[in-house]
Amino acid sequence: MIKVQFGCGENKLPGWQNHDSEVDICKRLPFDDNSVNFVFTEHVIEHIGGPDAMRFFLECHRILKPGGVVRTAVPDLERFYRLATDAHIRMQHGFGADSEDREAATRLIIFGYGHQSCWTEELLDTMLRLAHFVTIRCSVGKSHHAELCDLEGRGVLAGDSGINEAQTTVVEGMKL
Amino acid sequence: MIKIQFGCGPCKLPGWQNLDIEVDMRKRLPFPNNHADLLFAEHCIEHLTCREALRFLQECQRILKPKGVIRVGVPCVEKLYRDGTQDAFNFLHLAGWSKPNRQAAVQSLILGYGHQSWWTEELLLVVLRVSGLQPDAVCKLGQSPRPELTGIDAQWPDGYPTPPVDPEKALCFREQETVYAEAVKP
Repeated sequence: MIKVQFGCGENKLPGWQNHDSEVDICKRLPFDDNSVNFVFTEHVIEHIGGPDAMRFFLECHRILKPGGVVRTAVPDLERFYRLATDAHIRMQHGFGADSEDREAATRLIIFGYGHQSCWTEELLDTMLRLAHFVTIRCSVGKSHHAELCDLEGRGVLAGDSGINEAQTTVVEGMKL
Repeated sequence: MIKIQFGCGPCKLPGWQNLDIEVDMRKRLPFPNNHADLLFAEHCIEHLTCREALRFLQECQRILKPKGVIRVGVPCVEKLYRDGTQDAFNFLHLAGWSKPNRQAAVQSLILGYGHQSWWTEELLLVVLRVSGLQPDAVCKLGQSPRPELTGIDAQWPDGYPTPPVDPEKALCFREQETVYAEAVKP
């Protein structure tokens, strides 16, 4: 069972190969065709441009075994704009949003954090389908695959799991 | 009535200021605050990154008069993926842009044409909202609840697009790939 996380940061998952900047996800991934069971990225692909993200998904499709699954978590602009609480808006202001309101807090997801691409659930789902996956929309921590439950660590590391619920969209794609 | 089109390409609209590359949409727009009644940007913000597009729309919000309106048309990946017909995919293929299937056609919107950002209707509406504008209409090509914004899309001059591209098929494709949204400055 080969499980690979890209862009792991501090969230090193036991039983997984946890790769960070030593693997450039904008290039050919250093894995053979049909060799991996699960791929996981959490708050990673928004740091690369849209075309690079598309190519990354095509690479994930190449390296996954048939029946293998890629699980992708991204900040979701539409979800955050809808669900952000006053506490999240204050937090974004503290991180550099130019005013303390919902619009500025959402703008920071586009302008800030070195982000290079914007995402919504619909867009992520469409991208994965374009990369030949069959998709299912999930929520943080939940999956039909036991191996993919409770992986998202970002909220815990940030000290506020509520922010993850408010801003994060998770979609899984299965290779047929 | 001040009407300004950005990224006009060959589509010069009578009665409008039609601006193309002489105005850099990535910079502060050369107009004062509360200046324009109507703005129009069709198939150009996808040539900016998402970040640049947000800045551009914030600039549009700045130069619009209160109650002024912007109409924005963008190619939408989920719309083409959902609504695209085989005719449209064949058109792209014959024009030399893509293989004649849904997957390749939509991928070409992401990887091709010099596009720097990708869009869906949902994403466009959120980005308009966080630019300080209030979206109030999503329209089909050529249609608008506002008479002055009706019939202004894809006003290609005679002889455009050039052969081998069939203008009628190009227009069908434009309709299938594009979401037009209008938003008001409060």
